Amino acid sequence: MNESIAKKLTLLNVIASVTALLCASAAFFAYDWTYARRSLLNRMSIEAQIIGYNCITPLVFNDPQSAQRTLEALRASPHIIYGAVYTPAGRFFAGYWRGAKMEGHLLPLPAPSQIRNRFPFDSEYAVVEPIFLHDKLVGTVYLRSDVGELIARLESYLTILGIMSLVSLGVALVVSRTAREAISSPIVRLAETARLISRDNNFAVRMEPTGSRDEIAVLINSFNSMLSEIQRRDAALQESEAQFRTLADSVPQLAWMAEADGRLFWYNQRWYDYTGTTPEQMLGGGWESLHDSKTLPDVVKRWKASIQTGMRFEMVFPLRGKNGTYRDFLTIAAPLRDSHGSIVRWFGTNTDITERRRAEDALRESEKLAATGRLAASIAHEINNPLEALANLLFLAKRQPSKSMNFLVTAEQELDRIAEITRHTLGFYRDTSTPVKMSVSEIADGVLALYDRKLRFKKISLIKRFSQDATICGFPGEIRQVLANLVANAIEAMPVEGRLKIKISPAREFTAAGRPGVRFTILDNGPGIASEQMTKIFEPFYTTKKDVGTGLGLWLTQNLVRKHQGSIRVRSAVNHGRCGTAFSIFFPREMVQNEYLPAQSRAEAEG
Amino acid sequence: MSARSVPAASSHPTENDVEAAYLYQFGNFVQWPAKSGADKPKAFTICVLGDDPFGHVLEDTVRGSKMNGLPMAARQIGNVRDTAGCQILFISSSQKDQLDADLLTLRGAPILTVSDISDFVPRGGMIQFVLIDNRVRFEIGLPSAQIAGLKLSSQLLKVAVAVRGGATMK
Repeated sequence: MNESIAKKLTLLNVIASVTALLCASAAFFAYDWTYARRSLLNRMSIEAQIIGYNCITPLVFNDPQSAQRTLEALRASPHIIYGAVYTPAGRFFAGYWRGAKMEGHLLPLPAPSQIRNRFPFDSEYAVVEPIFLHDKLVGTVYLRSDVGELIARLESYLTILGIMSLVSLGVALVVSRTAREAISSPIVRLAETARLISRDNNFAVRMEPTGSRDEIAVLINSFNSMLSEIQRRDAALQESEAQFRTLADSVPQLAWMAEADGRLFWYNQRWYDYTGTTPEQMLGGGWESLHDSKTLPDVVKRWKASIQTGMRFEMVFPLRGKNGTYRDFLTIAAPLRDSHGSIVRWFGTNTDITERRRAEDALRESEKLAATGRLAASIAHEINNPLEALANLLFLAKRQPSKSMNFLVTAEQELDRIAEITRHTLGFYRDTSTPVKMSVSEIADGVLALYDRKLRFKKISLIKRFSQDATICGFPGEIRQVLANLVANAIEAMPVEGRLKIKISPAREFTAAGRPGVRFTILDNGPGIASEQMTKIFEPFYTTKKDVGTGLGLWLTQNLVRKHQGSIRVRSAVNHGRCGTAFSIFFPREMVQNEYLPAQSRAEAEG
Repeated sequence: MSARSVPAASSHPTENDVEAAYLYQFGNFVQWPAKSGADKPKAFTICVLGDDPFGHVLEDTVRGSKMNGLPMAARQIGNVRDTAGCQILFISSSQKDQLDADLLTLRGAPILTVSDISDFVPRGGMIQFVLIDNRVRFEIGLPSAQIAGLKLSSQLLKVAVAVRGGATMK
């Protein structure tokens, strides 16, 4: 391989010099050949003319012997093999032959057009010269010459050419051997350096400049700068990788990377710290051993689905720590795509949400207590009214014994009302541990009974459209709390003499799955919610009622709806004269038995 | 032009035919002394002294031809004194007996004398036809030509059977 360029250079030199020599020789030879041929023909023509001149009188006075004598002079030209004089009628008059062999062999006089004199097709050249006497044709001379002279010339030429070729070949070899060193040795050194670099992966090597300013010097310079660039990029890559590792090890989450086909190949230090595993244990799908066997099949199924579709993976599942206890992690994995859009790898993080879940549970609990407090106040108001009526009726019954029966009957009705309020109130905290079948309409009626006095106080007209077969499975206390929250919010928001519209009907969810269930819609004509607030209303501690609200009402509502695998939508208008808010909640008829389904938020804002 | 100017051996022309043709051709190889003014000839005339052995052949041969830029003519004369205007004079064998007198008369005149009478050249003629191997040849007598001021070309001398009296050729 090292020798090949040098060999090619030598070969090229030799080919070039031999080609040049051959071309020059061919041109020279062609010229010389043409010249030799023309001078031969010229000489023959002159000889023919001399003979013709000397044969005028022999022809005119019919003296072939004299012509013969003239022709004998051709003996001085050894290349002439035949010379003859013909009469104007084309008859042979006198002739000369070289050598005895052809003696007396008469050749017919050729027409000028038959004479071509082309070597090597014609082994003899011919010349025909007419003889004139005062413009009158008196005869014709016909000469034939062999081309031995031309052949001899050709032979000597080829001999010279052969010798010249050998000499110039030798000279070219010597010259190119000397010259190739100058050209090929830097290239050979470059090739050797490149070979060493690719063998040892040592990019610190540099080529020595040749000192010349030719293309090879440029090549060497470029090669060296390329090496520097590779080193610079290597360093940058290593630095960037180090930064990434530092970053990945310092985030609070567990982090990992997977190939496009889903095989996990890298975990950050926190992963090993939390799980107490080693990198060797994580090889070949070792992560599966850290999962709860109950949730693992679902995790694997959804992970495979993400890899197939390229969709972001999001799921909450427990992972076992080194102390053997499981903690809940929110796991998010997103694909990294190349410039063509195909997935190169996956980045995943596991965020420990155990603490968050506990905090959320505590929040829910406190909101429940707060709601209880508000409910208690509401109940007190509700009960206070009939109690006052009862006290009045008992007083009247004592004062007017004759009418006491009527007063007592009315008092009994007021007591029934108190009893009913109490019964509904109990429903809030007497909840079941497993889902039961219930009618959403009945629960809504119970809730509305608690807010009856408030509605009447604000002179709110209520329009109810309750379907009687709107049944779902779930926890009645929680459904009741959801409805109570929304009714209380609506009443709070509405002005005096407002209109409240509540609709409950069997329905299908507005998704592709289209699960069957019940839709609960509550529409008020309050001032509405501005669209910039719309995204925040489900956040915990967000409230517009700074003095009385905890800011947890809607957050808890959404939590409870999600728990029932339902969805909640809000639409609101703040336009003057056409304002109001509508909450629409869908509860599926049956819940799927999986508490680790991802949270689905379906809050939508409509201006 | 060819048939008349060159005797064709194969067509067996008669001796007279050949001689007529030769008479015609001699003009090509002889140079006459230059004349000018009134003496300049108007034609190149071949004369036959005595009985004309050629008949119409000579006339046919020269008719329409030119020699040295002059139109050619043929004329038969009976007396040697009538040779004015003749460039070539063929002396017929009928003049055999008075040949010496004729040649004496013609001596020095610029007229090429030709005859087939034997010993024509030794007796002072310039060109004498001889028959050798059945072919018409000729001998040349140089002294009389030189006296007449005629120059015979070496080419003509070359084909002569013999050239007498001259140290010039052969």
